[in-house]
Amino acid sequence: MITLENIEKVYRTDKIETVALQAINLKIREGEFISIMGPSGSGKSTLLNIMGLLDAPTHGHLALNGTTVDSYGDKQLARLRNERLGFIFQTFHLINDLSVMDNVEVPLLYRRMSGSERRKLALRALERVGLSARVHHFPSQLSGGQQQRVAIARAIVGNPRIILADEPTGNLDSQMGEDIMSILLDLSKTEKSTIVMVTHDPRMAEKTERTLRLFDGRQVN
Amino acid sequence: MIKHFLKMVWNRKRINGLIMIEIFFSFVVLFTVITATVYYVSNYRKPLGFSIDRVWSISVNTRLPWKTHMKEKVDGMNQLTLALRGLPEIESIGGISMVPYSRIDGIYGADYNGRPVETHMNHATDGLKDVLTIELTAGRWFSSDDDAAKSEPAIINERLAKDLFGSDDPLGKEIPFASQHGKPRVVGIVKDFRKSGEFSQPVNYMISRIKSNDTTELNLWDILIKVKPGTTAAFQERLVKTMETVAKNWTFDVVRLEHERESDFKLRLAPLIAGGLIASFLLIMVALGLIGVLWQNVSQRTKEIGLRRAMGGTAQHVYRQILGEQFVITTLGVLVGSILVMQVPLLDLIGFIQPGTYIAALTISLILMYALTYLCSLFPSWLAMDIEPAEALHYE
Ligand SMILES: Nc1ncnc2c1ncn2[C@@H]1O[C@H](COP(=O)(O)OP(=O)(O)O)[C@@H](O)[C@H]1O
Ligand SMILES: [Mg+2]
Repeated sequence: MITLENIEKVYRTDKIETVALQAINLKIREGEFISIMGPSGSGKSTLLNIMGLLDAPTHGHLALNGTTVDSYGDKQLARLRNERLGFIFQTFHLINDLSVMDNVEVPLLYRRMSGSERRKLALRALERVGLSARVHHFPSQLSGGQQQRVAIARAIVGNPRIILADEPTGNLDSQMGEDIMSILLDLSKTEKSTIVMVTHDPRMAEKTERTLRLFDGRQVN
Repeated sequence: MIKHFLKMVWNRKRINGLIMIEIFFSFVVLFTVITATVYYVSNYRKPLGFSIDRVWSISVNTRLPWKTHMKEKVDGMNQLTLALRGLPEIESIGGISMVPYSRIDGIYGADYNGRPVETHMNHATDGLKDVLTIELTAGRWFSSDDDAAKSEPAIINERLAKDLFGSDDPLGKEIPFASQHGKPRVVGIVKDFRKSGEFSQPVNYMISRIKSNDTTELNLWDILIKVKPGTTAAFQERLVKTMETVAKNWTFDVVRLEHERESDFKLRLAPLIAGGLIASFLLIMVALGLIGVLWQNVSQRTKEIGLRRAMGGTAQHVYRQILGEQFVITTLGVLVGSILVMQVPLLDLIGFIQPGTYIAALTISLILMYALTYLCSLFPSWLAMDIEPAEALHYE
């Protein structure tokens, strides 16, 4: 499903050069639920962003579903992100000026689709995360756990095969974290979604099928 | 997508409302100024009907009481004309009651076939045609042949001819604006005679004849002369001296019509220029406001923009998002503005301005507002396009 071959990422600023990732080789199978662990600054987000086509590696190759995307342009990458990938972030990244429903519809805005169909899919996604009663609320009126559930609804609304979650429970208390984790496990089980989750919490990582450990930009096993 | 832009604009209504109100006000002012400009330009491009090139006007003050000494006045005017003919600098001499660019008007109304018709009226001598280079499109100017005619002759403009007689030939027809000599007959047609100058509204116009020996009517008229090319201002003094020797107790006021035109232009254009300055000032305010708001918008919304990219939006989508929202705001502002300003023609509040003028002014104002919006949105939209999604979403 996702193949990373010799991935290296170097950030160059005026004076310093940061090697964020080095010699990463990884194959993630379809339907696999994998966690990434490592200390802060070890390159977890960078790796996730590269898999999520938000950032390009400095060296190495990346393939999704067996298709190498190295030479893809902005439009093609955006389309892949839209159709194949769903993102969940530690800080939710909801648009405060939009209602819950409208937030969930955002990925569908970049597809050809009627307004009513968007509405239908968004409502279904919100039902999936147990928030169908909050569609007209705004993010500021929700708890952190509820906001993250909206973000999950937004990530799955377009029915992507891959979900990338960057510390999805990092900003939540343990009870809310458990709720989020059980939604992800359920998606993995019933939808057979491929899930890559960055986490600091070993108890969360334990529940996944495999854990990749990063240290200073390198894989450690 | 437009619905989504509307939603974004509506949900950020506090900040967008202010800029919308600014757009609304500047649009209304802009429309007002452009309407006046379009009105003036379209008037300016219509034929004037005469030329004031090298034409001087001499206003005569007889210092005699109103409606008395008629014979003395008429004789005096004829002697003056005779004396002026002897001056080599003068090419032609004529007379007119209401001099071009003067601020007096005679307006007459009458019923014609049960329909009210109105016209501006002026009175002119036989010689005026050459002084003001008046061209007739049909018929002839006044001449001494008219002395013996039963009815008074009149020259009318095409507009009045059409108003009275439609497509019929107006020559020889009687017109309803009676003088004490009865109803005059049309002897000639001019394209127009816009006494009040280039910027004035075209109106119905009629010119009747001043007879050189008529003492029955009060012949209050000014002398117009056309001087030969190269005549300098120094001639003015000799001119006045010549006239003073003929009519000893009378006084004379000589002005060049070019100067009159200049002050007429100044008077009419001053409010327009002032309005233009206000409108430009408001537009600059709007432009600065727009750029400021959009800039802040983009820097405050980097996370949102990063998120849109992550969700499958292209850089192009982001560009369109910023531009689109701004166009929605501008549209709301000018929409309310258009509804307001269109009440003026719809309720016919200013009768003399044609609907076409409003439509042209509305079109120009809309184009200007949208062009301004586009220009102001361009740079912030480019900035938004350049936002790297990974970076935008990275830090708190
Ligand atoms: N945009 C960037 N520019 C420069 N350095 C960066 C950038 N993003 C990340 N880094 C650096 O790369 C390294 C890995 O960062 P990150 O992937 O965010 O780590 P993690 O998510 O594991 O905490 C860090 O040293 C970080 O400072
Ligand atoms: Mg991180």
